[in-house]
Amino acid sequence: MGEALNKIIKACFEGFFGTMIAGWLFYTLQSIRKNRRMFIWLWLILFAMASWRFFIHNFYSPRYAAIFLFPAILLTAYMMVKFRKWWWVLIIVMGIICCCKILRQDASGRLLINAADIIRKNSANKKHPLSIVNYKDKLRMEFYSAVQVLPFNESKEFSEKIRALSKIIANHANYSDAIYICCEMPHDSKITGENLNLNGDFKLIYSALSSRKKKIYFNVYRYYRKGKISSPAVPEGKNLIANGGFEESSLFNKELLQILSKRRHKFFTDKTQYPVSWSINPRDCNIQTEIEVSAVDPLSGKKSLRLQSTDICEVYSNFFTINDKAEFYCRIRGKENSLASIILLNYEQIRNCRPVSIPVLPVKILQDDQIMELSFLFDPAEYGVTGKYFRLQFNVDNGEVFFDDVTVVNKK
Amino acid sequence: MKKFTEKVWETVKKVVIDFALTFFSVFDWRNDGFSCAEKNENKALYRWLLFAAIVSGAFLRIFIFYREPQLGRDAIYYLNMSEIWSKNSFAYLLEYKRGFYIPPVMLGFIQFFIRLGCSPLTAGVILNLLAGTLMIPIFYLIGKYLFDSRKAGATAAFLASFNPVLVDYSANIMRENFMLLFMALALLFIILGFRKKDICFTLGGFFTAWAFMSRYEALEILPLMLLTFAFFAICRIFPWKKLFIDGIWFLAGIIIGVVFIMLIFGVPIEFLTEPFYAKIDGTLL
Repeated sequence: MGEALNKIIKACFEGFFGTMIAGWLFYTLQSIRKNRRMFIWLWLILFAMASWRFFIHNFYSPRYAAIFLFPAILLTAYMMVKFRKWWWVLIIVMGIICCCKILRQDASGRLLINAADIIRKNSANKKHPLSIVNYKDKLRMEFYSAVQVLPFNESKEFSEKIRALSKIIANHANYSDAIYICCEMPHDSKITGENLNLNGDFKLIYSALSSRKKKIYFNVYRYYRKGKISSPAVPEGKNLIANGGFEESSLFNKELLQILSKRRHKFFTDKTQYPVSWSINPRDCNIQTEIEVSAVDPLSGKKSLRLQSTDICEVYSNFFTINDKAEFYCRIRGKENSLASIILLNYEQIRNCRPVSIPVLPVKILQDDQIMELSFLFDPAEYGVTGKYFRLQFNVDNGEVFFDDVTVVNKK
Repeated sequence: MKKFTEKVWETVKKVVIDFALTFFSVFDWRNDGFSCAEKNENKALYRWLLFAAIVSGAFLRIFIFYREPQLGRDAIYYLNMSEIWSKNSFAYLLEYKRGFYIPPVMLGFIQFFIRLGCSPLTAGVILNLLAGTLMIPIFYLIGKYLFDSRKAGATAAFLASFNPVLVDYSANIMRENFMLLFMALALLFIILGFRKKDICFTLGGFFTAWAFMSRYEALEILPLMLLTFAFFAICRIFPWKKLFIDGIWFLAGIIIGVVFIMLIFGVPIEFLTEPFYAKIDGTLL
């Protein structure tokens, strides 16, 4: 309730909230004195507006209480007018308070624009630059920098941030000639090339205060690799993923086709090839989603898995267990600017259990039809998951991506 | 020096007493309902004040946008969606994004300007600055008709022009801005409906539809209206027959508004019906 009240106060600005309450009380006292009933209506309305926010609806942002601006402004105006010849003094005082609030410079007011400018200028002569930013800044960085952007889950923990970034950079370094890493850091901690196990030119090119209160800085690092990094090898051992090469396929079953046609999916027909041992959830697909085992220009063998969507589409592997650590490997190819991600789902039990989702590796396709080899070492203990069972999930957020040779091997 | 100190002291005393008297006179109001009516209001003065509020409000909004032009992440999403809409149709947007639920009014206006040749950013920013500035005279009219006083109207206009939250909304690309603008118009016509002609309720309903087709939170007007009508009927402030007819005018306005929006922006009926059907047959988007 306190949190909701705080958001309501913020929604109409602290100064106006105080004067709204004063205006409300003035009106109530006057009505009681004059034996009028309209104040009951005002109480009813304000209580109705506040109560469902307090007790029913858990709202996340003060913007959901924007309707309170009406009573705030009107009751403040009412109170001020009642002061007759002093009303103009009150208006001036309120005007000054508001101006002070408005004109207080926001530390992050131009932050992303400045960072994007620097990235754009710095990458002007590069063929395939890539900037890595957290999910919340992805759209803005794309909009302002016009450089391909790969979003990642930015953790507040320094070690987790380093772990996520090193996986992403190791898997993209061979395909991009300049990587820009944007992340928020406290003043006393810095990312270095050594932290990320990088061989090449790693440099801080922009740093600005993003939060005055918490003393957090928004930093942009640039990385140029030195020479070509050797491609990862397919891990040896028993592949935990059934049909990882997508060579086995069957037709979509009638039940699934019925659900998909009910939702007006255009792509799926009784001839579409379904990857055996993998599963899809029709509710996770939008109308333009395409999922199939394709024999056209496969990455290896005779067939590959093709996912295409304008929104998130997902496929899931079979369940498997990891002894201690596991090595992951797969090949992908796609259309430029496509965005995919590799997620591991952790289950306590196979049935009736909500999984813990571990977004391990986001992938950006930087060139049309370039084959990328992805690999990483997965240690469940690093992510603090306790479930025994795992599933691999491939997401395509937008674009078209082919997957093949999916291999997960227990590391001895 | 002593004389001067005495004079200053006398002036301070006079000011304090005068202020205190004004303060306590608040408890001795002679008005009716919300009325703040005063005799011999200086119409010209309040019109000038309204003009000053509009100019200063517009200037403040433009200044803030130039000082902090970085848009919110939702804003960029709206611009991207408007651009896709401008090249295709709203029906395409529903297919493009899974469970696309954003009501069409703001995106519709932006895509219209994009079709006219504006860049998405220019269209979004200009429309939001315009909506934020337009709210100032509407607050003036609400204050004027609700409190029976131009002075109250001018005060409300000034407060709307300086309110930091409203300024912040206008200097960004946000649906709240459009929702508040249409809610203000709805409130104005509802007040006029009670004060002047019943037909104004239709316009109140019409703008309520625009408000909730900008952002669904504006649907809150409906239970509040129901509560108001019930209170007025129970307390016999208005005869229930009049309230019943007014309610019908209001609902008619909402229906006209929704149909009008869907027609001018080309919103397919599935946008409203699909979430319900999807919930029924278990394939919720």
